[in-house]
Amino acid sequence: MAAPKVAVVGAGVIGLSTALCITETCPSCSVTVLSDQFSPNTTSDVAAGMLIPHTYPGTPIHVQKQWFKETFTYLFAISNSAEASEAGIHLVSGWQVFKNSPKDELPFWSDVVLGFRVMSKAELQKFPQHQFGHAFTTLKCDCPPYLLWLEKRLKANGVQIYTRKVADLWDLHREYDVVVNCTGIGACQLVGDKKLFPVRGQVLKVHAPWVKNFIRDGDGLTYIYPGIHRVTLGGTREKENWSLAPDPGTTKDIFDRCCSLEPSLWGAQDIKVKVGLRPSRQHVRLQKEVLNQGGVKLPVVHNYGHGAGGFSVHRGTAKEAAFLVGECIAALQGSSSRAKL
Amino acid sequence: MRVAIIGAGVIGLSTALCIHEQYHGLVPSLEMEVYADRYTPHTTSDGAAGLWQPYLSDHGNLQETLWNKETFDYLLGHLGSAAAKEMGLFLISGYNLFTQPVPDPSWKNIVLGFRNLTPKELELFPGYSYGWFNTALMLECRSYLPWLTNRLTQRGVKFFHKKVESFQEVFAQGAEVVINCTGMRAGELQPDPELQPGRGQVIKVLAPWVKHFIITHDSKSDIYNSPYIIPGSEFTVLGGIYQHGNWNEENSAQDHKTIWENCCRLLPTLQKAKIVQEWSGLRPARPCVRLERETLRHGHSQAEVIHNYGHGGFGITIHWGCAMAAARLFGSILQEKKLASPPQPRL
Repeated sequence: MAAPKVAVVGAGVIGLSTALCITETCPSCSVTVLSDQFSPNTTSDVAAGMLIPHTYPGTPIHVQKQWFKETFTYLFAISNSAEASEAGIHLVSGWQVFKNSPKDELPFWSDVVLGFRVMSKAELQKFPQHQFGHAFTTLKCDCPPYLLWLEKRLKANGVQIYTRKVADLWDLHREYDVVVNCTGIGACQLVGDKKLFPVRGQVLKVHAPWVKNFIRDGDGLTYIYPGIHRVTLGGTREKENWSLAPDPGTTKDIFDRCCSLEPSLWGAQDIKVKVGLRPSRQHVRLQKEVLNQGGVKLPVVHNYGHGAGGFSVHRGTAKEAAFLVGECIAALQGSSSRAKL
Repeated sequence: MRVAIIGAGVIGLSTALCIHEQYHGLVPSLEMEVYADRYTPHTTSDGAAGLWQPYLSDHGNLQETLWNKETFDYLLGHLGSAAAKEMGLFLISGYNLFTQPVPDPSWKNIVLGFRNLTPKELELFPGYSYGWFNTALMLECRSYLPWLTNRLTQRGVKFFHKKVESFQEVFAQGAEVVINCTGMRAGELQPDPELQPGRGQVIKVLAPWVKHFIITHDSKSDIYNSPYIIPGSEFTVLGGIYQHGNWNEENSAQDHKTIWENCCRLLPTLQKAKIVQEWSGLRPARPCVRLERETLRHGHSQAEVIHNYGHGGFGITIHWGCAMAAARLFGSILQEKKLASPPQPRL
């Protein structure tokens, strides 16, 4: 078989990191990225990119932890290198505070992030409405820089990137040997996945460069994440809401909630409002499927449905998807050599 | 009653405000004036990054440790206020790095969340085998000094751009109490061989991805002679120069090279940072802060001087505790002059 041709559909953090992993595990592959949207217009661009995992109810914890650990280790090495600023990767410390003590004192990822510990009484005084908290240091992937850096790495590895709206995965069967589906919320329409649903998130990206620490309410709804140039204030979790239009009432509500956690934010300037639809699912769909029409087969690897946790596990799931792509190629090569007999 | 403050750095302006806040109500005739030949942004304070952190050892100066704590607690109390941003005040976390284990500092319980670094964190800093993590405060003087100036102006304090040549000169104009906050140049008003320059040089860069301070320590050299990186609200300050006895306020190319190479080795990503400014200044170093009264003869009468100088590289860290102590000395002067009784508890 000539150089296997792999198409990755989707150019958010999942699509680009999956494409990169494929070039690393299968250097002989010819990889192409196809997407109708690129940074700064992907769902990933709206997210703050904080490495704080979301727990998927349908996936064993040890698997999620492995994904997170791989992602953290990978980004930690970049943050420690001269490329960190270009890649948009930086360390950030802060607090996760709870109004009521959580039932699990230690989240599964507490030994992956740095310096995780319970907050002291003195630290909690800054948050009079909260009883309990965690302090730790983690990583943040700023977008667009991270996505642009991934694109640069892909091009250096010979990957072609095209703007193209793929309406049906089967359309790709003639040009490509394997298709990787990283379409995020787009998979609802593309493959008709009824288990996938949007969880709408509205955020504010503000100029407040004196905010150096992150603050997150343990309920996951209110958070302050300082990025390279802007601080992301959030947020909302609106299930089955497909609207990408910013809601002014929500903007005011987010701002008020964040200011009550960090009063200095009243002085924040240049507020930009963004909306993203988290591609949510009980568990990430990370599996092979063989599409079959009239005896012609097209292997597909799905890698979508990361919901609120895309950045936290992106590298781990990308590696697993690349492995599955390797399996598809091996199967194709096996069957093509059988065909020669 | 006329009070003259000489010096408009962080010490002069905060002492002025502290005294005015406490005593203006008790002494309605209080008239306060500030004299300085350098105002923000040209004071020594303006060159400092603004990180609240005392030296590692207090050398037995327990009073200074108390003043440091008073300052931290005072600033922490202002964090949640609307004034914080205008003051240039914000929380910041970061790292102190060592090549060998060291005892915990006197200020470990003053800052927030003090702990040792984990092995994984130390992987970030090759060459360093031990360290601390804590959350402290930044107080940027390019915002704080204008904020203090505004508060003082609102209170009717007058400012004069003038180099004072002697205490007598100020007494002759009618000042009964002079507060001497002249920092490095206190020796020009009254010789003080214990006051020596601790020359520093810094490079200000644009590196907004740096969110933590990183301060290294070298057991073989003095404080601040080892690289440090301190991110401010707009610029990140790179430093690591402390030259005792060097009066030169000009930037040195050799020092620039030292700072740049050492800081880039510490944080490789800084190589991409854009250099915006270079600055040198003289830390007013002294074995201990001079904070005391002195009665000087002026013609047939006496006049009082309160000295408040010699804060070395920790002026911002200690400023409010010293301002309060100077205010107490002022209060005792008032008592002696029977101009005010100390605040009585309400019966």
